[in-house]
Amino acid sequence: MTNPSILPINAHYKLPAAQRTDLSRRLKDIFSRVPKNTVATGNSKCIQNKEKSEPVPAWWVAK
Amino acid sequence: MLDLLLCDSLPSDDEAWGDVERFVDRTLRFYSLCGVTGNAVLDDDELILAADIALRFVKNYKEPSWFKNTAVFTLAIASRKPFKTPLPEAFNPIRSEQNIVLGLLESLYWLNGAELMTQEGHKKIVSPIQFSDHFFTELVQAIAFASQNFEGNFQEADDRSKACLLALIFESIAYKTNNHIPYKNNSLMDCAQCYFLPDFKPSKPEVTVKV
Repeated sequence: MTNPSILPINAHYKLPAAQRTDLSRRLKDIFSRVPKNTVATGNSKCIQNKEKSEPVPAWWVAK
Repeated sequence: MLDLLLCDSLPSDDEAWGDVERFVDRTLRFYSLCGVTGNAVLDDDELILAADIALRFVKNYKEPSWFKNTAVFTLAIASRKPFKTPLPEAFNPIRSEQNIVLGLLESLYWLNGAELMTQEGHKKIVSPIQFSDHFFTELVQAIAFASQNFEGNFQEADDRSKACLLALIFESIAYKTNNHIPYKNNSLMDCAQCYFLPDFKPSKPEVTVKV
């Protein structure tokens, strides 16, 4: 384990600064080299569910 | 974090970080509601690696389905093991497989209510996906084996087959409680019926094989 975070169960999580930078760097790399010949799945396309992208409600925090 | 896999273009930093943070928040809420108190331990680096593996893999597909996205996500979390806190005893015999369980539950969270744009039109998973304790336990154990050497390498037949097979499992269990989702046009399976019913006449015209 290289960089463990000790997280209080009843608190919101915040990605540490180093991992934020790392994630941004990795995403830039992934999207800069998206494969040209993608494999067609022939089935269903995902539709984003906005409702589920909302933050976790705070009702369970600070009990 | 599964919403990150749906991005067609580079998301903003805030969006990307928020996607990851919301996933961890849901896991913390889950631990809390299951009676775990105090702290949970998370390897942030492995969490980012799991996101990287999953996104890099699904980007090889043109419009991957929810089932493929959730399968790859579950395998990525299961292989990188970012969550270090076991589940409470109620989860025996799979309490030490918290990464697989959390990957599966997050997948079900996104699949429940998911909208699918299929060749037969717009469909939605309306009934919650459920399975028995026996199925749950066996599925977790199977994923534990499958994820042991999963590296998310799309060119590797092993990695690709694991992702495809788990996607099919997700699809099958979604169909179980959502009869309206399966494809209605099954001419291939109509023909396949001949194997079991010699007198069965396929609805399609006979296919002649030219030699």
